[in-house]
This record gives sequence, structure tokens and C-alpha cells, in this order.
Amino acid sequence: MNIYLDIQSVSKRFDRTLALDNISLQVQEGEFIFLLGPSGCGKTTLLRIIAGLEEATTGRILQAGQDITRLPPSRRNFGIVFQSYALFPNLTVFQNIAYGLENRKEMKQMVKTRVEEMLALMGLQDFRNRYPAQLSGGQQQRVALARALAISPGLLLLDEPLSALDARIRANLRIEIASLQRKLGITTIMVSHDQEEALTMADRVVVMEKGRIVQLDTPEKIYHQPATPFVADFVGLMNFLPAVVFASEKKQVKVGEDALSLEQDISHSNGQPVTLAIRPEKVQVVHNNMSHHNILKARVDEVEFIGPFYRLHLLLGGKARMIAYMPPQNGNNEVIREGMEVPVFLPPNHLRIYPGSVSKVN
Amino acid sequence: MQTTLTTEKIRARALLKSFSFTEDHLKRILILLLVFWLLLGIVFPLFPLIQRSLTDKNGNWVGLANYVRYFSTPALSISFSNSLAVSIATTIIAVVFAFGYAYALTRTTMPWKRFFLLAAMLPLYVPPLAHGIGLVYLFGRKGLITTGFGGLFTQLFGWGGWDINLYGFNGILMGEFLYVFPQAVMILMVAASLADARLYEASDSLRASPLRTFLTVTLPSLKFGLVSAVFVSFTLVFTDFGVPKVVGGNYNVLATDIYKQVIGQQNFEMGATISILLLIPTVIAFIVDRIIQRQQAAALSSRSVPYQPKPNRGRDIAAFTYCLLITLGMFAVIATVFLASVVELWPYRLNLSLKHFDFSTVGGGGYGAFWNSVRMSFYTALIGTAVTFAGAYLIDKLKPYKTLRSIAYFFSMIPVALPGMVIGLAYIFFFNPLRWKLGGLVIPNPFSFLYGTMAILVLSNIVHFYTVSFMTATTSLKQLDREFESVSESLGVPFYRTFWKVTVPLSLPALLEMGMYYFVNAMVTVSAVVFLYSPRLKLASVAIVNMDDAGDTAAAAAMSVLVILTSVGVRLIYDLITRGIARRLQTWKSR
Repeated sequence: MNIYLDIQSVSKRFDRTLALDNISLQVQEGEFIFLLGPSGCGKTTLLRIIAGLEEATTGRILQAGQDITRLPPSRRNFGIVFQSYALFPNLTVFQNIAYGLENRKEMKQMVKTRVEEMLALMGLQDFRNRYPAQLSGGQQQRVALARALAISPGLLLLDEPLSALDARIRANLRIEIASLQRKLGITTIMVSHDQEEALTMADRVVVMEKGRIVQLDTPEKIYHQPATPFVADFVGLMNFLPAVVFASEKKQVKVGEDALSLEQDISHSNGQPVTLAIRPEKVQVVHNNMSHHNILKARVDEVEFIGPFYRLHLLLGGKARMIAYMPPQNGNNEVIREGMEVPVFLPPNHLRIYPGSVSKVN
Repeated sequence: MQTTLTTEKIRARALLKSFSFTEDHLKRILILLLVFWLLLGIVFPLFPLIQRSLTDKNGNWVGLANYVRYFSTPALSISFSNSLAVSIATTIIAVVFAFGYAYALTRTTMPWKRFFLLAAMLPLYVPPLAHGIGLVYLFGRKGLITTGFGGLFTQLFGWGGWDINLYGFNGILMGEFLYVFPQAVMILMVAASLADARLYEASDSLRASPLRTFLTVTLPSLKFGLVSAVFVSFTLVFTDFGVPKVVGGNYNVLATDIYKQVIGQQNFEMGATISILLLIPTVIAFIVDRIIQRQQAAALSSRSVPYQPKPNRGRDIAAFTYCLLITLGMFAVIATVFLASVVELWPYRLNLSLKHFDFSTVGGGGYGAFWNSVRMSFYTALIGTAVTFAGAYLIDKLKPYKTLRSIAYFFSMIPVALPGMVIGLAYIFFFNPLRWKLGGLVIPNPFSFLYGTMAILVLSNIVHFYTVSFMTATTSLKQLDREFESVSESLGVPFYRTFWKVTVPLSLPALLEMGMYYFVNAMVTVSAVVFLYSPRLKLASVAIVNMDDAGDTAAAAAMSVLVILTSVGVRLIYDLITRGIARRLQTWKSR
């Protein structure tokens, strides 16, 4: 695989605040990369710098081997879709898609052919003479995509293109965009604050926090092996428990008086406070006191029926709380009620360990 | 060896590229041009004005001597206190009445609301001078009311009319009331329409009395509107020239004093001094208003529910009667102007006659002046709209020269604080001389050819009414998606193409509004152009002044009628066009 976009130590300073702090990122050709993070993490700034809409304070950006750091957007090679779509309201769907083509002094017939091609690709043939205001949100989004792709850019930039849509349309468009991207094989960078979007669509996810990259991995790794408590908390739901390293060579820690084994190596010395993390769906409520390892005693504080599963709010010793998802059919048909004492099993392969005490994490 | 050659080649190519003319260069040049024209039209002309107020007739520096002389000569300094007195009185009365009117329009369910709204706006299309003339025909020495309908009352009732002592304070007060009332109503209506219905519902549900609701909900929500109305009214009255010129009599105010000093006595230094005095309160009012408006922006909640008044018979009848009386009063004055222009000899021979519309026997310039005014207003509308919109676009949508663009924005705000008299006089000093003297330096004036031409009249009008148009353009531009420019850039489309194909079509309503505003104001204004017109290029509004001065009041009324009809006509054309494009705009409007 070739490196198509090479971002080298890019920083961006707005007056006094450092919006981007030494960002380096290499994007493979044809890859679908997500910039994920809460608002203000710098993801949009990074996208705008890649587009040339903002200028990097320091650092370099290479696109297909060419240094584009100081090039104006018009001399770069990308298409962009904004959150608002920024469709020209006074131009028809056809004119919007043709907008970037007409300027390239391409022959009229060629423009028409290309626009028709894009209309067919997006399933917009019936809407060519409509104005944007006469389209649904999803259709507008497709027009914006078609307009960006019509000029055959080497790079597609998507700035939260789905966040203005309602949930159902968003789920459909997610699949549509991802398959379109794969079909065209166009290198794509999408900005999002929606972790579900990132997990379902991306080849690789860049999680950003306060202007830095905190993790760059595949969606699976991001979810199952979050690099920091921040990533763990931002992507999906995570339980955090205070623990103390008990026997680092045996990969054991203690929560209260109970010992727990991990699969992950422990680099901390014995006696150090650490934070354990486990996803709610990995926590198992067990009913018989079979001699499992990794059992904690918990009291059921609240039971919520969600539909596909129950959400249990569990109280451990001290102030620690935990959430567990439990399928309605739990095998032995025993009903769990509020106030019950239940043993919970924390599988060693799903326990993650982070340095520091739990209060810092939450 | 080879590598160095290639790097050199690359460097040379990069150098060449950096010299080639790009879009960015064009943007920078346009912004520089904008700043240049704002400096030339607005900022630079103010310097010779200030300079002249600090020198004597021979151009020698005298410090504040002119100001000292002004305030130590009672015949002169009386105009400052007169101006203050009449401005404060008018402001209080106009804002109180306008508050009632706006309240009736927004908070009651009285009938004829649309009519009352249009009626309140009618005086906007009337030159302030014409209000004065209408008052003269009603309350002047031979006025309808003064003489008791030409002696008719004495015959019928043995009572001979009512002299209100029009010329002086009373006349100015009444004329200025008509002039500023629509402006105050407009500001207060906008403020009232922003009220949040939920606050009223909360107040009702807490069983607050109507008075308590009025004091705790209504008044606070209108606070900013009231302050704004007060400052705008004060500034308008304080700087107006038309009304005091016609009905001021011996009651000197600053604006008429400047005119007397400059036109009557050719005392430019004293004219400049009084101009600066005229400028000070308006600048203070402007600054205070800006600060308050900024606070308002912060206080406004983003999602308020519009207030829907409920019927209340007693209140609605009272509101209707109130509005009807005010409307009748305003109509009476304007109708009098129309009537006076078509009767033979007011108020004695009331048979209809069009002889006053034959301006050949009176001075002022007649139809030539009228058509000059129409031409001037047309050019002002056309060029003014283009220049103002382009200026707002460059400031709001382009990225280069951030500081320079904020300076340009600041310059664009200045004209609203400049009275027309100040602009007119400043333009004389700046554009008239063949050379400028800057300290010991003598620079030939490259713009002196403009003096006495149509161009300088148009320029002064554009500057005079620049800020309001500029704000209209800016507000409209800010409503457009700010990513239009980014998308165009990403598609490799030059900004000027997107400007033409997207920005301008989408801003059509704002452009038309600006054009209409420029036209109507250029048509009725007298204060700036009275110093700048030339005998070869007379104007309708100036003709009204001169005919009135010469005692040809009926001809002045006739000319006023022509001006009013033209302004209203342009407004009607504007409405037609706006309605025509409304349907098309509807298909563009996003939900």
C-alpha cells in the first residue's frame, strides 16, 4: 500500500490556544480514516488544514508525494462535504453537481455526461431539476457528495456529513457512504463525534483529545483495547474500578479484598493504585457460587429494561459502581430484582488496566 | 550535481509561481481598494473640516478660538441650547407616542393593523421640508387653522381661528415629530416583536396583575428598543435642517446656523466649528447606542416564542382610536401639502389649479431640478447598492487582511454618526480646493474636478446613507452558509464566479431594499447636497428650500408633491418586483 497523505508534525495555534499539537498521520491510498473526538478536540481544524481552508502554524502535508502545505484549496486535489452541505440553494441539483466542472472549461457534452454519471451513481436521476430545498436531508447529502466527487478528486473530506440527519436515515447513509467509498476506492477522511459511525464505517480511527492524537487503530482495537481511559470512555460505555496491584508477575490485582486475574501484562509494581476497566456487556452475573475465579460480590441497585437486554446498576463494596448488560434469557430463568446480592464474573481477557486511581478517570 | 540542478529548477518554478497573479492577489487588491475608497469618501474629508474649525480666515492656526467665540457670542451660542432643547422635547414626545403606536400594533387585536403600519411609514417618503410646508399651510400666518378656514369660522361662529405661534420652537417640534415618528415606531416594533410569549404565560400563571406584567415583562423587553429609539430620534432632530429652515423663524438651531454661516456669510471657519459641535452629541449617541446594542445581543434568548395578543374589547377600541387620531394628524399635514399645491390661493381662493406646477415663473430650477434629483437618486441607488454590497461582501466573506477588514468595518460604521450638513461641508473643504495644504506641504488635489458635478452629489449621498445599507447587506450575507466560499475553493471555482452565480442571486431582496433606501433618501435629502449642488445642477429638494425662502410656498408645495409621488412610486415598483421574485425565492429557501 502507498502512503497517499502524509501529515508531518502539524501544529495550529489560534492566538493563545494550541488547537493542534504536533499531529503526524499517514493515510494509505484508498483508506477510510475517521477523525473522532469530542467538540474542541481539533478534528475539524485538522480537516480544514488538509483542505487548505486553514493554514498550519508549523509542519508539512504531502499529498501523493507533493508538498501541499502552502497551496490554496483551489490548487489542491480534494472534494469536501460540509455538515451543512452548503448546497447552492439557487441552483438545481444538476447545476450544483456541474458547478466544479464548468469551471474547468470542460466541453459541455462532457460536463453533461459526468453529471449524469454522478446522478446515476447516487440514484438522483429523478431529482436533477429540483432545487436543494425541495429535497430531503438524505438527498441533499447525496447531492453534496456527488458535487464533491464529480471533479474526480484524489481525496474526499467529509466534515460530520451525517450529524444533521435523523437517526434512521443516518444509519442507512452510513452503509451507503461506506460502500460507495469502497467501490470508488477513494482515500477518504471523515470527521465525526459519533463513535458508532466511526466503528461501523472506518478502516482506521484516529481518536483525538485536546489537539493530540491519543489512539490510531482499527475500530476493533479501539473498542477492545482502548489506549487510555479517555478513549475507553469516549468509544462505547466503560466501567472503571479502583484496584491495587497485588502480584504483577502473576497478573493479579485486588479490588477491595477480592483478587482478580488479568490477561494483559502489568507493568506497575505491587501496591500501586490502578484502574480496571471492563465493558458492561462483558460483565457476567452468575447465580450459583461455583468456584469461578474473578468473582466480585455486588448488590443490584436498579434494573432497567432496555429491550434487547436488561441494564443492571450494581453496587460493589465502597463507592464503586458498575453497569452490566444481561440478556433476558439468562439460562437458569432466575429473575434478578433490585436489592439482590449477586456474584459477578469479570473475564480476565476483557479486563483492561490503566495507571492511576479511578477518580481521575471519571 | 544533478540533484542540485533539479532543486534549483524547482525553486525557480516556485518563484515564478509566486509572482504569477493569483486569486489571492485579486482578493487583496479588492480589499485595499475598499479601504482606499472608505478613506477617501468618509475619513479623509473629516480632517480639513476639523482643521478649518481650528484656523482663521487666512488659514492661521488659532486653536480653540473659534469655539470660544461661538460660546461667548450669545447670538451664536443660543443655537446650541436651542438645538438641545428642541431635540430633547421632540425625542420625549415622539418616543412616547411611538411607543403607544407600536404597542397598539403588536400587543392588541385592533382592526386595520396593516393600514396603520403603512400609514406610520408614509412620512418616510416625504422630505422633512414638506412637513414644514404642510404645517405652514395649517398653522402659519395664513394657515387654514390660524385664519379659521380663511375667515369662514368668523362668519359662522364668530370665532376667528387659532394661532399656535408656529414659527419657532412649536413649529420645529411638530415638524420633527412627523419626521422621526416613523423611525421610532419601526425600532420599537422590531423590539416588541422579539418578546417572548412564555414570559407572559409565566406571569399570567403566577397571577401577576396587568400592571405588574407591564412593568416586569413588557418594559424590560423593550428597554433596548426604547434606548435605541431615543438615540435615533435625538440624532435625527438634532441634525435636521429641513424643518427648522421652513418653520424655525428666528429660533436658531445648529443646522440652520451652519447654513447661514456658510451660504449667507461665507464664514467657513465658523461653519466648520458649528459642524463639529453638531457632530459631538451624535457621536456620543452613536457610541452609547452601540454599547447598548451589544448588550442586547447577549441578553436575547435564541428560542423565544412569539407573543400572540388576545382580544380585549376595551383595550382594542382605545388602541384603534389612538392610532386613528395620530394617523389623521399625519395625513392632515401631508394632505395639506397636496391640496395647497393644487389650489389657486390658499386659503382664500380654493378653486383647483395646476398653475403651481408650472415652475417657469419661480426660481429654484423647476423641472430641470426635479429631473436632476431623479437622476441623482437613480445613480445613488445603482452605484451605492453595488459599492455597499461589494464592500460588505469583501469584509464578511474574504479571508486575507483580517485587521484591515475590521478597520474597513469600523469605517463603514462612521457615516451613521455623520450629519448631512457635516458631510456636505467636509466635502467642500476636501474636494473644492485645487491644492491641499498639510502643514507646510502643498499637494495638488487630484479630485478637485469632482466639485460641482453630479459625481460628488452621488458620492455624498452614498456616504450619507452608507451605514444603514451596509448593515442590510451584512445581515443578509451573514445568513448565507459560510461554507459556500470553501466549497467553491475546493471545486477550483474562483470566488468572483460564486459571487455572481450564488451570492448575488441569493441576496436579491437585500439588494433591492438597499437600492430603494438609497433612492428615497437621495430624493428627499437636502442637508448634504445643499452645500454641493451647483447653479448648473439644481436639485428638487434644494429648490423647495429656495422657493420657500423666496416666498413661493405654493410652488415649494408642488415640488414637494412631485418628490413624494416619485418616492412612493419607486416604493410601489419595489413592492411589485419583490413580490415577483418572492415566489422564486421560496423555492430556494431551505426549511
